[in-house]
Amino acid sequence: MSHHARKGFAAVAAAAALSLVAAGCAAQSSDDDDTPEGGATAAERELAAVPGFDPAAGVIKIGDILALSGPISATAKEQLVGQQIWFDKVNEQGGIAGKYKIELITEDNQYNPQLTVQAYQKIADEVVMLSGVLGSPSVKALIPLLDRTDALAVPSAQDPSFAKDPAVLPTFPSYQTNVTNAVSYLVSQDEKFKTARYCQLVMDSDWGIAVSEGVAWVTGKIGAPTGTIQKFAALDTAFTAQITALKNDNCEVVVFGGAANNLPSVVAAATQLDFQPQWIAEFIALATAFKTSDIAPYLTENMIFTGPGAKLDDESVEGIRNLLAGLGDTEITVQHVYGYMQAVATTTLLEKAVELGDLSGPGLRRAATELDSISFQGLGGDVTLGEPEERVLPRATTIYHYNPAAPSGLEAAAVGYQAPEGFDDHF
Amino acid sequence: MTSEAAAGPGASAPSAAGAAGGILVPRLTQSWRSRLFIVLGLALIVIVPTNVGSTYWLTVLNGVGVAAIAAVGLNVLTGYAGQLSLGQSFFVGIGAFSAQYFGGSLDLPMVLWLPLAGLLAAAAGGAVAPFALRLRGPYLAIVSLSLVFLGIYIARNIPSVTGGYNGTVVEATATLGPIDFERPTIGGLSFSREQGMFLLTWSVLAVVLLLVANIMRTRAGRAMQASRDHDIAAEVLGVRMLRTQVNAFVVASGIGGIAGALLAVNLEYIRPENFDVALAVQYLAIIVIGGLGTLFGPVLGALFVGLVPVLVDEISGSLPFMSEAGSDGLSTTDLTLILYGSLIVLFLTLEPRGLVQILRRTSVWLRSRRSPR
Amino acid sequence: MTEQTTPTAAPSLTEAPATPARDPAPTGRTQPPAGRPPILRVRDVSLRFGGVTALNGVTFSVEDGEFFAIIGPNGAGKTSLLNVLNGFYRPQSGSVELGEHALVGQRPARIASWGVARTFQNLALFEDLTVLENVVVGRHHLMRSGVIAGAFWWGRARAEEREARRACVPLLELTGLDPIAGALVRDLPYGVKKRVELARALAMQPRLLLLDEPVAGMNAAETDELAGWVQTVRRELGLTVVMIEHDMALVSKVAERVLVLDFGEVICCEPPEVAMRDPRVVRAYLGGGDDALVEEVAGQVADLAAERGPGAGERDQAGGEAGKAAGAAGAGRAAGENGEAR
Repeated sequence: MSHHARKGFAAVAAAAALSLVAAGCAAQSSDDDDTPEGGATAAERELAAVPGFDPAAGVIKIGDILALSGPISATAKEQLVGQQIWFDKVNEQGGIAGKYKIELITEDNQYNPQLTVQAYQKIADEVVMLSGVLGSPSVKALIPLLDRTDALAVPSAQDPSFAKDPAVLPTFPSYQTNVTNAVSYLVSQDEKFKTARYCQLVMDSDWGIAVSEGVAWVTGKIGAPTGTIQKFAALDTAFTAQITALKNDNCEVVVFGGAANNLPSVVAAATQLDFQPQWIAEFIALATAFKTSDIAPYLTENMIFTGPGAKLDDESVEGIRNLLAGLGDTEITVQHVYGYMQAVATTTLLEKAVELGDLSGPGLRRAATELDSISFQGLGGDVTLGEPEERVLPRATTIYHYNPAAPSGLEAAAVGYQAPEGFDDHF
Repeated sequence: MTSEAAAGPGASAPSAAGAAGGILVPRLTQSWRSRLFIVLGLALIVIVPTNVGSTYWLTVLNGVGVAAIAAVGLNVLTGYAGQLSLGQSFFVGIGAFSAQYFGGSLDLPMVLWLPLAGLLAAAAGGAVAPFALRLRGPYLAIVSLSLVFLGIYIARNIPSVTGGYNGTVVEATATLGPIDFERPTIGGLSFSREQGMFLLTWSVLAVVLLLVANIMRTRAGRAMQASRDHDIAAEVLGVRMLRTQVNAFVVASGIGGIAGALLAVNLEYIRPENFDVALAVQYLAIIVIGGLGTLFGPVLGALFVGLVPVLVDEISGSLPFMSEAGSDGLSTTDLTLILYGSLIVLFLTLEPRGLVQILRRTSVWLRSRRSPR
Repeated sequence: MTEQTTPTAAPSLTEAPATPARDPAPTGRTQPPAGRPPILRVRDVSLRFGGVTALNGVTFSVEDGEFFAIIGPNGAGKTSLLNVLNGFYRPQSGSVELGEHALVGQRPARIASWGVARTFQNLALFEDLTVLENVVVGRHHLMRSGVIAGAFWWGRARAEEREARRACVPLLELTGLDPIAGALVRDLPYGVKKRVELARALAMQPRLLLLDEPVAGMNAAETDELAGWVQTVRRELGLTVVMIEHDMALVSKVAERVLVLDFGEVICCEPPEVAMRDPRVVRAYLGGGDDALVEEVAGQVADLAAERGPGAGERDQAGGEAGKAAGAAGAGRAAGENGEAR
């Protein structure tokens, strides 16, 4: 039996030796570092090939990691359509810098951070950057990996912590900003909201915490009293307990931090209990299908929505005009706008990177610091770029009334609204 | 491992050399075939990462390795000791956040944070074990399930350790003496982080498998299996139920903790929601699919659960009837889920004792075909 | 047998201090014949489940090296008594002493470690372990290594495993299981499984072996085979055995004394051939009946016993089955001697 052991060791040793010999194909020489020199101007130099960009083919590939399946796949697909409309438009006009066409590669993350990392590994060598990563947890999970490879992504998420992260090209106002603007808007419309009692019905998650932060800050600023904070889980369908608590606390304004799958149940419970405060919700809580549903009258009566965008049928706004043209018969939603904005941020950055002559990860990161800001064709406030620590998320958002006759049920009440009360620095 | 396996006693009783000569020492392996298998497996731990350059495939395989370790732990409790548990993700979570706390916040080296993660989870397992003594079958499953919810709740409310809702980036570094698994170099060649992590994860898996094999061929492990098959008879034979139960829970959750620590350094970002019921169910699925109470069942099960969806995804991408991303209709993920689910049903209907049994039968069949009649 | 250390009967019984105040026996001769010291003393044990009395004032003792049988109709409390002896049930009153140890209130694992082994009426084997592994579990209480020593295969664990297996090999040979030591128990036929259970109990190096209907569900040939094994191991190892059994042929063949239970009470305690003729015993098996019938059956049983060996029957079918059972038992006896001669 001991000669078996010796044979075993010999086999392991041989295998180890073999594998090391073979290792050349999967290892890199340690001193492999030839980033392009930055002496010559871009015009004189041929743009170097990098993973995801082949100058000969004239194609820049970018990735989008979003939930193509699962409960929020409808939302994700609308974002994807929005992105594609702008990329098609750019390609129609010749592409980035008039010559490089954009090709979009999508991966499904099912809203799962772990799958996001896997999905990125799968396409990392095929794309120059990511034009979307859906979900704050997924973006956070990806940041260490992006940092290690000096790569860059546009988040489909509104966590304010992304603003100053060099791995991220921030695009959207934060949840806190959304809420601050909405409350400020109410106060500007009617003095009574200055002294109204503000309560919350928020998801038991980091999103809910972000909403609560916004409410706490803005009510502190206007000096309004605050009431109970009711929480719920992502897939809850029974809200009677929470609505009863809100009603018993005599809430006059309730800020809702939840998604479209929660809203019908919330409205059902509120209707049943005859609870009619002023509601504030984010655009994420809305689905086009609500227009023809039983909850439409309640929404019309009691809710305002906040988020990016403009008047959704205003063709004088460039972004809306392009979206409407690209969508054809499909009804426009804020999710289309959201995806379109990501695409605009992506192409703006790519133009700058081509101008600087470097489409590599570090090149894209440098391009982001050299851009002063990105504007979104009238679809939302500008994002201030520059060095990561100087970056500021957009402050202006659009406030919508609910109106089943308007596209998606959203009738813009105030476009590009920015709270005169100001914002906390980290929003 | 192999030397251990083959090291027999120098002095076996001469009188028993006939029929009973080979049974005096409980061996890890029974045949040259299985020994060859083990050697091959050990060689693959080095061959795979040095020859696979794709970080994607390595990430998938690293996830498989981590899941296999956690499932090996659960298999001790559910497969060998017969206690149905839906709480393994709780212990994996303890290990993950411990790794970040000891290795990241306190900046301790891996020789400390990796065992500490296992020990902390093991201690939690030991504390839970006495409750399990009174609860059997579905009741224990429900109670263990509540551990998962409790764990997520606690984790959300100690942000100084876990980062609360936001989770935390994992700063623990995977270095062992001169070996840096995050940027390994051999000679002048440097390897990627994923390659190093493969080496680390699968080596730990090999060690864990050896330890479990040893436990199961000795007194404490035999007591677990005895109490699984017939608890009353075991007790009459002098097996103390509480001790055995605590042993099973401590070993299962300790291994779970080690898996959690490796999960943390692999993922680099962890949040309380990572360690949810879905993860616990996945571990249970792995050991059921692989083969309950078998040494390599959890590894086969983890390969199945980890690789089948990925492979189906690869294939389904090239199928003509798949819909474009963004449009309605059958997406690759939908197809993957359908095929993956059907495969599980098919396998378990055909062979309820898992992949291990299918493999055994195949090898018997092959041998019978090869041998001349 | 090998020249290896054969597991002998447990460390010789330390002389139990003579207890002067013995309870007077309620019925029959429940004290062992003078001479050998008692190893097991059961005094006035009563066990109730809710309103049901399973055992009522049961008193008896078993002497060292004795083969002691407990018989009685179904529901008489035989298995309950066994469960009291090895700690599954805790009687409301009474005492059980094994040598110097008081057993009442102790956990089964503890009692096992004092040398009480048992088999079960229905098989209680570890189906997914091999024959050898099953038997080695019997030595659990003789081993010390813990889970950590086992995991690292440290010296003590390794030495202990080797020693345990070495000690079990003679037992496998004694019970004829050595050729199938590596087989999974689940794949074995019923009769062989019974032998595995016996070997496992013997591996405990018991001073007292409790057998709960060892031949239940076996045909005549199997019964005799097992009876042979039991006789052999008892003689080889010098065991004290307490056996519950319905098969009267087996009882009269192997038992030195019998304790007859009915409705949880001791009816008598005699040498088997005396007990089986006792009208009280016959009445218990018949489940009542008038004196004439009892006398008639008792006479038949006595004749049969004198002729070929007595038979056993269930309470509700005792009369009709008596002849058949006796016949089968008689046939079994001859085969049993063959088995013994192995």
